[in-house]
Amino acid sequence: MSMDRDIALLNDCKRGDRKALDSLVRRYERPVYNAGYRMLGNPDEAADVTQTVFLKVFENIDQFNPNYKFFSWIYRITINESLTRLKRRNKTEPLAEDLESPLRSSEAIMESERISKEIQAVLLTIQEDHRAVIVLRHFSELSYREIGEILEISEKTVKSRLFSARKQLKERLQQNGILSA
Amino acid sequence: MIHERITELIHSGLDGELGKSERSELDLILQSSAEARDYMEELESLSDLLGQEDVLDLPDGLHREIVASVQLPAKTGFSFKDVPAFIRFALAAAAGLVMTVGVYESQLDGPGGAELGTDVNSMVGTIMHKERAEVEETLDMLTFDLEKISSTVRLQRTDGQLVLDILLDAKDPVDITAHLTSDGLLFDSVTQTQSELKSIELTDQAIQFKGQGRHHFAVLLHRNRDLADNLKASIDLRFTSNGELIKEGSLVTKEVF
Repeated sequence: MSMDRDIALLNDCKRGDRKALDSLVRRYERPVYNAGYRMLGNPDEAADVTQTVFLKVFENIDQFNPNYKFFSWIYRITINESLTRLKRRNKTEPLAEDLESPLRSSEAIMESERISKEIQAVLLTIQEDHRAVIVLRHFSELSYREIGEILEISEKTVKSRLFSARKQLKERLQQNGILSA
Repeated sequence: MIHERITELIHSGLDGELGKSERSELDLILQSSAEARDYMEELESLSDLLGQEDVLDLPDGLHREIVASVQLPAKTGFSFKDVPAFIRFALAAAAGLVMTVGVYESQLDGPGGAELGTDVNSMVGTIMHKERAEVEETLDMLTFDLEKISSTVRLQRTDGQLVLDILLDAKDPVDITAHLTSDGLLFDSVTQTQSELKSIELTDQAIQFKGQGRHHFAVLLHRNRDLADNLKASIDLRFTSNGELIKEGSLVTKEVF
């Protein structure tokens, strides 16, 4: 994503240009939605998160410092919003119920879809701050430095969380037979 | 058991985060250690597995919902904020001078000028208004996107003023009713509109709207001075089309405003 283009679009948005708004939303809606889905495991909640993220971006647009990357800022809002929902969910409801039911009728589901659901289900079992680094590294394909900026942690901590998260993921996917031991 | 340093090199190598010398160090380790090679292969398999996951498409209509729900400042073709400060001052001074001379000459030349009786000495540099940024905060929102009708209704605080903002895009005729339940607040007036005012009926506690096409209007809420202790508000919304209920919901603010 080009930083200059982001800043130009943001400035146009501040002047009320709805075409610029449309372009900016198009650039980031899929990454935001996918990160939200990987964190929460629920497409409806991911859609809610995506909408909330853009509302927050434009409500706080004057607080954005153009010396920083816009994508780091929007990812940070996405991860924080997802973590907030997870905390709320942990207090009120059991984990990702909707992921369990499709697995019960796995015979009817194509193999790749089954594996995909297994991966997402295992992803949801790992600690939330560890899940965030997996999502940002493997699904958003960001560097250690970018992940550190987004989560406001050092690169050393990024590495440490990533190593632990991969260890857990690897072991659990091996136990489920998704990954060969 | 692989040494911690080797583990770190393997993970970083997999992520493309190694410098040249570290890359060489890792290559040497992989040549000499079967255990390190096995570990690297396991991690590569995990990485490949995660990498095969599809990027999900957005649900239908979400893009439109997002764009419709975001409010931007009123469109301006040109902003003085983009002009360097010294040029802004020069422009302000020049404009002030032109106006001053214009008024002064009109005082000399004609009866209109004399009638003005204006003190032109104090006018230089006073014609530029300081830009005032609106501060908006969404307190609650209802949004939906059906095949023929989409709408976003936001209860928001704009510069400290509570506002109900309604955006509608409807191919079919739509009736919207909004009922306010609050001891301390009343609907006041329609503040901005891209709709004909005759399509909106407003009372202290209800709004009725009938229309089709694209509409955008906002209604101010104000304090009822006699009953201003409780400023909580709940607004029940109903959208009907051709006699059928298509959406209902409530917007609530629990905050004192």
